[in-house]
Amino acid sequence: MEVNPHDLLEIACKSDLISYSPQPDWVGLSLDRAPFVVVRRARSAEGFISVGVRGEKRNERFAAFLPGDRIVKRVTPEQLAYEQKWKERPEKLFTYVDEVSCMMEKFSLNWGPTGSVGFELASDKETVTETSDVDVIIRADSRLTNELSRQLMVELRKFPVAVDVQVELLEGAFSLSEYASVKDGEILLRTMDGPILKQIGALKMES
Amino acid sequence: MESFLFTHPATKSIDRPAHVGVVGSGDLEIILEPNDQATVEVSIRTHVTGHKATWEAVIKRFFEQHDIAANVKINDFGATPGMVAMRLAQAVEVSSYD
Repeated sequence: MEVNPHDLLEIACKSDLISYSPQPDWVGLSLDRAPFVVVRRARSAEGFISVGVRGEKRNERFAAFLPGDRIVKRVTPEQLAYEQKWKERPEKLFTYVDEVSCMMEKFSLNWGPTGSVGFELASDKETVTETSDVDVIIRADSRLTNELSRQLMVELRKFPVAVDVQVELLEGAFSLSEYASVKDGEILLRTMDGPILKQIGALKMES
Repeated sequence: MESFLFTHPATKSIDRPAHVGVVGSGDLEIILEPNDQATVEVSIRTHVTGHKATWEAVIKRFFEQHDIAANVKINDFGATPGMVAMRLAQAVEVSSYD
């Protein structure tokens, strides 16, 4: 099964996860509550997927590997955007997700929620807190020009919460706000091999 | 929220201030300003607690390799050490680019 960074994977059994450092206690507890891991942007051995476990606190993130054949279900950010399950959730933050959704549709952008919002939508377990941001990704295509990115940022800055947008390309991901603020010169690209600086003009806007 | 301050001896001045990075998950914002002292003074504010030793190691390694006298302000939103080093390199590049 093909997976991409930010996909959420449901696992059957927490012992399917392989890690090379001792697991803190919160890892098992967190997986008992919601058996989902997030695909990390990192290389892994053939047949394995780099994944992360998220805990309740910001400093509770644990890196592990999952054998590809142990995935029960894969949920992509786009699927979550399509399902619009945020309409059924009580937390205030999800009303902003709805507004982001309207905006993305207006510009016909291929997008989806990630981070705590995505996790809550996929797992149906309360995850967002009062300090949560709205994290989303946009799949890059040629329409996402520098001009459009600036237009989007003007709208996003009006939100009362931080809306953090990553633009996903085949070769990696960059921050929409950085793209909008840098006309030429270098931008930071998160790749499978770690962050690199790349000339904006050399980015391939495809995903 | 946690904050630390690191100082390290330095000799070379920078040409201009720099502001790089992003306020957003897994990223950080760095503000670099020239100072007229023989040190680099790095102040860090991070939303992710419990990583002081890692910060110390990353900052020490970077400023041993990049001798610049400056005041450096870092606002961190859970960046990896690789991300921190890349943003620092970007900041130094911007501050001394002709």
